Amino acid sequence: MSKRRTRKTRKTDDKVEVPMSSMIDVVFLLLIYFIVTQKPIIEDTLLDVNLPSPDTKSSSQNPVPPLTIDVMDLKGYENADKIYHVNGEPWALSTIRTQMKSYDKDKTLVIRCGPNATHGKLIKILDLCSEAKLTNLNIINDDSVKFVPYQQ
Amino acid sequence: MAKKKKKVYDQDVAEIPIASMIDVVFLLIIFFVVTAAMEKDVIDQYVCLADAPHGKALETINPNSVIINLRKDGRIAVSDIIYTEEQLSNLIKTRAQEWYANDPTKMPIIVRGDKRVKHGYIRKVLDAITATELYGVKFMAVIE
Repeated sequence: MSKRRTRKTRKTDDKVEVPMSSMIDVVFLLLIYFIVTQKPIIEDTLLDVNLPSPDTKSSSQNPVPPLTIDVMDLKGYENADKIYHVNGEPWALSTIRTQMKSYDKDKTLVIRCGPNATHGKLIKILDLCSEAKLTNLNIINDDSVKFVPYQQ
Repeated sequence: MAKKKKKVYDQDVAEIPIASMIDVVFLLIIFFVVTAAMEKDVIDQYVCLADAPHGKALETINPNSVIINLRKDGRIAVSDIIYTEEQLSNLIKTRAQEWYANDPTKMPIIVRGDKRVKHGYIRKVLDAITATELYGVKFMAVIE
């Protein structure tokens, strides 16, 4: 009898499979979690001002007259250069910035804001003062203009 | 005789069971979500602060400070509660007596005014503050 050679093919492949599809799902879930819980970092700053008090020294005792900046309440930005008046004269913001840097750090500034001017305009002036390291800032009322409240 | 074909596959597949790991991840996520500390809401979401790029960055806010939010429509809010000017004055007086009994002038008062609000409303808040005989105020702005 002839011997039939039976070929036994044995596949002895040692495969180590790591199923990736589930791992990808987990990674996506973690990613979504960290995106949702992330908070944007917003840096805040504080701008110090002084309010008029009964103990305010009279100007006659102060040899150097204070610088008065008026924030006018103008609608729109068509007169952007005329929003700020320094000692009665309209000045552009760039001019104010340049001048402020030449003042002494303890110079007294009086800021008079119109009642209908937006708060953002006042903050711009305070920001320029902060840039020039001016700390003696006083805010007073502008009673010459009538305040028009929002219609409710 | 019928031939029998016997196929023998001898594969060693090592599988890591992922299903349990996903359950653990979900549990962890639910744990962190539930135990996340809710911060005290002193920042009013209705207030859009003005820009002050040259200001000094604020590191921490004194927890014993009064933060007054002034919204665009002129409403005064402290910790999400709307106040009138008189109520605001009373609140400031109460907190100054409670936290700074020795020297009330040291109590920080922070005004977070919306950049679009009219200065007349800011003036009302400032008048409410000066009614308590406190004359130092800080305006909060955003550094960009």
